[in-house]
Amino acid sequence: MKKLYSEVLSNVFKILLTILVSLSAINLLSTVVYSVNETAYFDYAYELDSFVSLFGTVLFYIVLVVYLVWIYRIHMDLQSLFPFYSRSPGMALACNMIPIFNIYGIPSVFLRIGRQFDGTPSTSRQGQFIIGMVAPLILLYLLDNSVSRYLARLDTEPSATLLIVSGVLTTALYTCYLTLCVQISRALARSAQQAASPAPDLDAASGIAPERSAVPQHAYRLK
Amino acid sequence: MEAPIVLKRRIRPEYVIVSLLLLIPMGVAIICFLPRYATFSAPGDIPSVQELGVNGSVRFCYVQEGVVHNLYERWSVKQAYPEAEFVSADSSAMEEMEEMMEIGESLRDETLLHAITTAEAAAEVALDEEERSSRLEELIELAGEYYGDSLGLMLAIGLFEESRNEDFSDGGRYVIAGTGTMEADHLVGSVGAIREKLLTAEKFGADYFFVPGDRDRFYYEGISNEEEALHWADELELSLEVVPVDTLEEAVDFLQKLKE
Repeated sequence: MKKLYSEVLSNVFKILLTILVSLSAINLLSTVVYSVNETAYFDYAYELDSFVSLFGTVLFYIVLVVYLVWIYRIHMDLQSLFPFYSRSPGMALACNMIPIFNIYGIPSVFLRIGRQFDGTPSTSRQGQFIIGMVAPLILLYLLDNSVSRYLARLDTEPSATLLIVSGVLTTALYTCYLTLCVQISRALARSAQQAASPAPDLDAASGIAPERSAVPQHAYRLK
Repeated sequence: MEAPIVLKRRIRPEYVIVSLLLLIPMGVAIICFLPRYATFSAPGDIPSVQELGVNGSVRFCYVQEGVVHNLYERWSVKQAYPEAEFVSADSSAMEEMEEMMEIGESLRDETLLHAITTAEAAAEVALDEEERSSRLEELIELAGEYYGDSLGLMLAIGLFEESRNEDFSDGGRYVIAGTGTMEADHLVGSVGAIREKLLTAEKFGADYFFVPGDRDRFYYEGISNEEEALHWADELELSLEVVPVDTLEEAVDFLQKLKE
């Protein structure tokens, strides 16, 4: 099997995102406790919540850096597996990093990845899943950003409902990224496996062509 | 003879990387949550005595005070109150603060009673025992979120306005705030956090700020409230006017002259 550039990093990203999702879920749970019973929150949940908030904030920035490197690496893999893949790693990074442009850039990066996998029988399931995740991803991204900015600008103490909404959005957004990471790394692994297997020989003595799903992606492209 | 097979367990690189990366937030969190006590004070507000159910126009002044246990709490307080000032303390600070709050509550209840009786005497109105105790209960309930006795003087001025149907602010023309307890002998007693209270009053646009005129009867360590207030008003170049008063009558005289 062809060694992927993103293999180790995908696993690192998955583990870190899983931790981040868990931390944001704990934060959300603490906020619910706060909204239901403020005294119970300060007696039992405040210290854990504070620790988790701080740990999560620092981890978020680490995950952000890992995410950008991961995006770069998966595009290196995509270009190596699919020579005609049209988006370069640098462009993919730019799509994620340039403010305002990334409102178009982020969904476009994942949409293109999804379409690429969708066009290959063995990864079409993952491809369709990735395409299906694009709309929720950008919607959650925009909503979470807006609510966070609103909360940061508030002069008064925010209402518990608003804090819960923010917690739900953040947890859902991280989960969305985690799902995308799992699906993309799975699809990349399958594509790499196929790339390593011998190309189908249509002139073989049996004269039977292999099933469509077994044909590696590059074999299709060369036809 | 066959050589023994040695199985080497390979540690997956992703686990090593994740462990190393997790050391960063863990380190930050541990540093921020190590016990590091400090007391803080920050400007509060100058709420109207109407918040205590008194039909007056003057305002009392409170400041935010508390104890932080670690750097994280210190950072949180700084976010909530950017002007907060911290003083390092030891682990007994929390207990001391709780004790002070308990004492502050009983002192507050005392000053509320003295404010009622002093205002009665100054306004020459006599409440019967039942009216007085129901008013006191009402005030205790509404002042529940504050601790300390520094609202006594301003509450007494407010009660005086209510009894005499006066408006010392002249329809909101003046913002009148102040601090000081109301003692059983009708004198205005000394309080703490004068500098922070002056800054709070200045921040919220007070024109006049009453302080205890305690230059000759300050029994604690350091300088009296009167001297301290005049010093800070000068040092901080405040636009408000500091008005030291010994009794409620002195404060009322000043306000009546102001109105005239």
